[in-house]
Amino acid sequence: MQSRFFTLMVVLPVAGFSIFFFVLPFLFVGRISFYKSAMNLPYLPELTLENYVRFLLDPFYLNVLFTTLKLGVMVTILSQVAGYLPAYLIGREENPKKRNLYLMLVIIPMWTNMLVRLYGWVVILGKKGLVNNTLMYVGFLAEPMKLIYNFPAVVVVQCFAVSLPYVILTLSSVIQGIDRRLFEVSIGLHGSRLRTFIEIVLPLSLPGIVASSTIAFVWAIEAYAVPSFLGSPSQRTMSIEAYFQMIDSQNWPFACVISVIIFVITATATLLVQKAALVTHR
Amino acid sequence: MKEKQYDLCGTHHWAVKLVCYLVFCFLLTPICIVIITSINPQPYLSFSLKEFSLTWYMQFFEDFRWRNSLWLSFYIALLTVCIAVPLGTMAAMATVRLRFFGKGSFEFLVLAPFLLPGLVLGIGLLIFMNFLEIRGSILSLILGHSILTLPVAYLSVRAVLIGVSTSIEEAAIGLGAGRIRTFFEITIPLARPGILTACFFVFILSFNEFILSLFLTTHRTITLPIRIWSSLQYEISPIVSATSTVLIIVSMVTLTVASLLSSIERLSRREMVEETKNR
Repeated sequence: MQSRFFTLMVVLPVAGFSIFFFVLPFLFVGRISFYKSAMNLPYLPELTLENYVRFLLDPFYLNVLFTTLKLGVMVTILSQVAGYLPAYLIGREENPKKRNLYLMLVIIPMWTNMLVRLYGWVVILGKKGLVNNTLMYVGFLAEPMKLIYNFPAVVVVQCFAVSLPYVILTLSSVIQGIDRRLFEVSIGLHGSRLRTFIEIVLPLSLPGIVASSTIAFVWAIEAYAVPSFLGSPSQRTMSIEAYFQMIDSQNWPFACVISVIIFVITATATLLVQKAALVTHR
Repeated sequence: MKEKQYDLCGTHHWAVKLVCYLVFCFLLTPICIVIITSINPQPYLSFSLKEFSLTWYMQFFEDFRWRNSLWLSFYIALLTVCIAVPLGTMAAMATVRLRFFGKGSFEFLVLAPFLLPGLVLGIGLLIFMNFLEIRGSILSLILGHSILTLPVAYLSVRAVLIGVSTSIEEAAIGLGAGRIRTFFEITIPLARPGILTACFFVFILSFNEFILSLFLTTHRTITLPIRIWSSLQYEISPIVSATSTVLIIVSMVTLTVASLLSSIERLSRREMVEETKNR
């Protein structure tokens, strides 16, 4: 039933396209990261480690890296804290119509443009925005609070606008897979729903927590729009710096160095998580 | 007498429900706010519910720059569908139906753009397109969007293709049709729900794409999300609200049509199966 010609005809175009437009660009980035920066040209094709040295020894850039990692960790934690209970509600909902309704509430933000969600949050948190206007109208505030252009704003908006829908979706499908009879047995044995939650649900949903946390972390590390618009100008993330170096400074080798470092962090995190998952499943 | 069912999982507890509804509010309020500001004639980025007006929509559609961006994004999304969906279908066919050397690596290759950072891909594609001397062209945008949405197209078609039984294909081949003919006349129509879903998802992902476009666009090719971004940075005008609402509507319509089509297809296939059973 299988013809070699047909197999080749189906596999080669896709593999070729992927290698050409995905693998090759990555290789270019890696190669140019070892090139020399130049004044009037994007780069000079001489091999050197000067850009890596420049990044790793300069406290300014190390601070950028640290800010990015801090953002990643906090967004991941906040996403889990905010997303677990909604995922639990959706996952344990018996009525499929109600469950679909809840899922719609989560899917709708996922399919709207991220910039639209970002803009909405700016209108809510801005100086003349919803929060400030309401508080001043009620008389609670004399002048508007500065709620944006700082780090907490970036964490909150990156979590709610970008990663939370996906986290809830992943967690809810994992929680949905927990057999109902386990709940019945556990309540019979312990008599407490809280204890059931801690001893049965949390451990069983751990793969979901791990998977959704990985994506939340990776997306936060490489985030550009939210940190760039809502962050304070002194706290730049890796993506902002990479864009600046690439487009504004036209310093391609340095931008590639930043990209390589982000890629290494992302790949390491993903691999570590996979290895840890394999170990704990034994 | 209907007994009140025991709340086994604790999900009926008021505290649980409160937290959940709060989170749902946080998820949806920004979108509602955007829609509200778009029909509010106040000229600054504020929120007040006093009058209704559609002036921002009229300004949006009358401004040739916004119209051009809208059309450009639409055009790029359409062409991205034409590249990503056929490739995704072929990839799904390969992994679901065929056996070949290096299948695992092939699947990883197809899914990789989904798993690895978009920023690195953006910089890499910029360098690569420069190398190919098509930097800043519409073609580079289309190719970039295609590689980014290929995993989604692949997953959509694969999900449906897995459920399609091979017996019809085997019957066709047994009757003498070539492998290629079977593919086009039997496999593809059977996988149509997945292919249609892939089309819609790829379209909406390309239409909304921002970070990749940020690296690949120039002043000559400004897609709608990029224009929204520069508008947010420099000339904040509630036209952005109108544009954003248009984007929201496009996403909603696409999502609704996609889910309706896939359930209609599933329903009509069930009816076809019922008919053949009854005959």
